[in-house]
Amino acid sequence: MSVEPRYLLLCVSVAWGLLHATCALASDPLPEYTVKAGYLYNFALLTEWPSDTMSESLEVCLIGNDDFLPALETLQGKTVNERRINIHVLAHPGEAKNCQVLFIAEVARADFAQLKRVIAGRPILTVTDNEDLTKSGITIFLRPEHQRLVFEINLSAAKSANLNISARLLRLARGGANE
Amino acid sequence: MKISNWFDNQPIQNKLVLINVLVISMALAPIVAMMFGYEYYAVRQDVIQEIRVQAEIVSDNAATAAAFGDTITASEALATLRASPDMLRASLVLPDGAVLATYHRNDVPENLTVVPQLKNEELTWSRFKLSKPVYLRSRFVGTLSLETSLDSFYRRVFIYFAVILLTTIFGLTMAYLLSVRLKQSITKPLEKLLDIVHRVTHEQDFSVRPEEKRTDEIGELSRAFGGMMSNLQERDERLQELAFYDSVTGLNNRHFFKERVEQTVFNALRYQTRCCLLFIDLDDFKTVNDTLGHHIGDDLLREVGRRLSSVLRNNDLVCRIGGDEFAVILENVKDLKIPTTLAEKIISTLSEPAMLQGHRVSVGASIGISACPDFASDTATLLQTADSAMYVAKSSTKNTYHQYGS
Repeated sequence: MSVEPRYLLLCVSVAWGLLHATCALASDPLPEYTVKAGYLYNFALLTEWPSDTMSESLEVCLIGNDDFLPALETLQGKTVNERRINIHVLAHPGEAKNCQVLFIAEVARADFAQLKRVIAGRPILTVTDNEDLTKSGITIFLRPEHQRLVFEINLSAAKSANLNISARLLRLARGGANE
Repeated sequence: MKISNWFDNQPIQNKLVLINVLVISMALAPIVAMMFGYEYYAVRQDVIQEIRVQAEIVSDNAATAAAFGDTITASEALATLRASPDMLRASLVLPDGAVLATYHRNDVPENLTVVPQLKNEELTWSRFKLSKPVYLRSRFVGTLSLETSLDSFYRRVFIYFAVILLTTIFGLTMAYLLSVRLKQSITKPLEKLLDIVHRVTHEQDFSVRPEEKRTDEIGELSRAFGGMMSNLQERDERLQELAFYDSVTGLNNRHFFKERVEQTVFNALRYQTRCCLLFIDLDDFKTVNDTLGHHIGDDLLREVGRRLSSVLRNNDLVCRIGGDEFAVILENVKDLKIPTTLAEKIISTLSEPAMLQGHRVSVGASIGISACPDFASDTATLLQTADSAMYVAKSSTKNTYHQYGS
């Protein structure tokens, strides 16, 4: 019985690897990214932006990982609380100031410093799955746990970004969240 | 027909009780039925509404978990259904058909934990099933299905039914007891009245009166009955008088005399004793009547009656048997001299002149005597011999007596 989870993990890893490989060929979104895109959508659903920044559209930006784009693009045109989603891929950190949701994947340390300066004080919901950025003031951190994707919420980061995150979302967050 | 016959033959007491209980039952029945029907409907709506609210709360709690596919949190949300003991099973299914979380009561088998999805709601006699979409901020994130038993509903309905039943039984019992008391106040005096009627019928006793101080119809009936009895008694007494008494002298009349002489002869023969019969015929009564008028004639007859009564012994009987004819019956006569002595006394007392309305009137009397069993062994013979003796006396000289056979 003790073998089984390990065996399963192996299978999943292999499958993951294979999917990675196939994805390079086809542009179908990877399951992992599909899940992440769904999470991103839910985060947007359960977050309140300051009323003075409300517009008819919700700008969702991606920086640092083009593999995520196909999955993310499935959100294009969907509505979140009656706001249309627009997907943007940022080539330069300076473009981040008009985003409402910013997914940060792989970024160079220098770029990240610039990014932080750009977004500081702006109502931007920052999300990352990059373990290197856990302690760097990102609002939501996604990580795998027991073959599931879980997330941590940094409340002080949310507060400094002037975002109100729903208690329902907080309830699902893992304990790593900074209160 | 049979029931109405049976009812007609019931005593009034039972009728009253039956009518009372029946009327109250008929008044209660629609009320009870309506109350029960309403309560049944209201409780059912209540229970179903409660389940709907629960489903709403659970789906609200599980919505975020469904959005993130978080089985643990979703299961926790469903587990709050444990608070409702009727909840059999519940399941949360994601839009792609995957089962995210289930809940089932301990006694529901594992393999049945997934509730089949329905269009909306389904109510059977023992189960209530419901499927509702789960939304997170108006985004469809899954379907919650749940199934509950209606045990608590039936328990509530049963308790209500039991309470209504007990109340109804209590009410009917009270009505019954009340009508039993009522029946006593009505039928008791009726029974008394009936007793009195029976007494009147069997004992010919017209002197009884129902004692009734009530002011209702029964009191009135009793008083009316009492009045009727008074009338009957009066009439009975008058008839008695007419039948046995002479209205002029107040003495017994011919009718009474006949019965009595029969009885006396019978007794004399039976007990070997002697009885005597004296026929008294007034002389010159017709003359008095014709010359002085009927009033004085009647006064004379009354005076004769008084004088006859004054010379008789207590047991002797004097009757007026005709216009100027009187008869005396003597019982237990030891000696045949007794009637002759009496006849002498009668003649002497009657021959005294009487003052009637200022007129001095004097009459005489002729007396015929006979005795049984000396001269007759039956009534007819006794009468006949006394009569012929009287004619002998009358034809000899007036104011005299004659004993038959002498």
